[in-house]
Amino acid sequence: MAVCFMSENDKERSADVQAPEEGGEKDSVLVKRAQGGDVAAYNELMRRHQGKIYGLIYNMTGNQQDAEDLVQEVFLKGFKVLKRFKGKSSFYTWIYRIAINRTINFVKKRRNRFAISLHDMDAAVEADPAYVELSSKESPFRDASLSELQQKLNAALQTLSEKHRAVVVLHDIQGVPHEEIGKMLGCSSGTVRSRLFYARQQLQAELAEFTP
Amino acid sequence: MKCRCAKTKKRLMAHPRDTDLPDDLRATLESCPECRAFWSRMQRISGLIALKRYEYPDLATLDRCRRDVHQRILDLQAKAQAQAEPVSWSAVWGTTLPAFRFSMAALFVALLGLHIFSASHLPVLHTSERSMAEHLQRAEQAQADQLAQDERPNPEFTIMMLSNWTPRVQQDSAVQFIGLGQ
Repeated sequence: MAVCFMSENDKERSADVQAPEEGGEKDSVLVKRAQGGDVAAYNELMRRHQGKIYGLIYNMTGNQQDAEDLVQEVFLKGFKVLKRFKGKSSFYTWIYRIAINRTINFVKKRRNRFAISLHDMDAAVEADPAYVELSSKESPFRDASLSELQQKLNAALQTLSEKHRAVVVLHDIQGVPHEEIGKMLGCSSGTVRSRLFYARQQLQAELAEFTP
Repeated sequence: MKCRCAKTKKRLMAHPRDTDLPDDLRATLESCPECRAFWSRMQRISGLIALKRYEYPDLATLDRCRRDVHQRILDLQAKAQAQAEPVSWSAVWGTTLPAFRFSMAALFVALLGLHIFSASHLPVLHTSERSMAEHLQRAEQAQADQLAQDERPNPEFTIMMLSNWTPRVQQDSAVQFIGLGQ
């Protein structure tokens, strides 16, 4: 499967997120057609962006089923209010904003009935420099299993507040630049940096065993 | 060089990757062990969290999601189209729920009953000339009857007068005469 978030560095990942139009018609053209009621055009938009939206929601909720349901809700809501989309931002920023708001509301509501349900990590993770370092001979965690690491990462992420988690997921996992995150969350890039700073400090405390 | 660590750490957060660090920050990192350790920890945390990008669903899940949304959108459109089409009254009456039809019939009967009841109990307004003449005639007749009744002798007054100047036997006769006796 083509992985939306996998690339070597931040710039590449940013470019990946910002340029989802894989040939064919531009997003703006598809949006115009979809605003006229063309379901096929909206289907194409959905195909282009659903991987990233799924990733965002999945990492925010930590649950596969919730992620599936919310992705459907987000795109359905997007279609219903598409006529109100004026094109001041890109379609992906706009649909991300819907996804973030929906997910934050959802996570706030389900606070007391939380269950983690994760996808398996792709085997490609073993070639990632961060994982290679972790499993090196010098590391005290070379024998830790992948699923154990996965569980700990998720648990640490879930300790963050919704807003801090959103920033970490968007920036560290999906590689969205600060300015773009600011547009999505309706705040300045300075606020995004500040949230990222505090989130990482908290994560450092949670994952202290992995960062000696 | 004196390192202002707090400020440096804040600046470092704006550059999450090694690749985009400005030269002055790079120099600070080389000279300050505390900032270097901080930077190293943050890089490790960022790298660990980024490993989560290797968790993703299979294609079938995403396809199913998209198909479901597509179908729900089609259903929405069909519903909106059905609501927008004009519908004749007869068609509405024919397809409406039995409960609604029964309610409408009951309402009609209730209104009809109310109309009949008001026609028989409320005063009729006479607007035509003929009705007005009849009304006047009835009023005159009622007035004449009232006058005639007023001219009849008052029984109590008669008894009082008789008791003043007639003997007892005659009083009884008079009472019988004017019709007040038992």
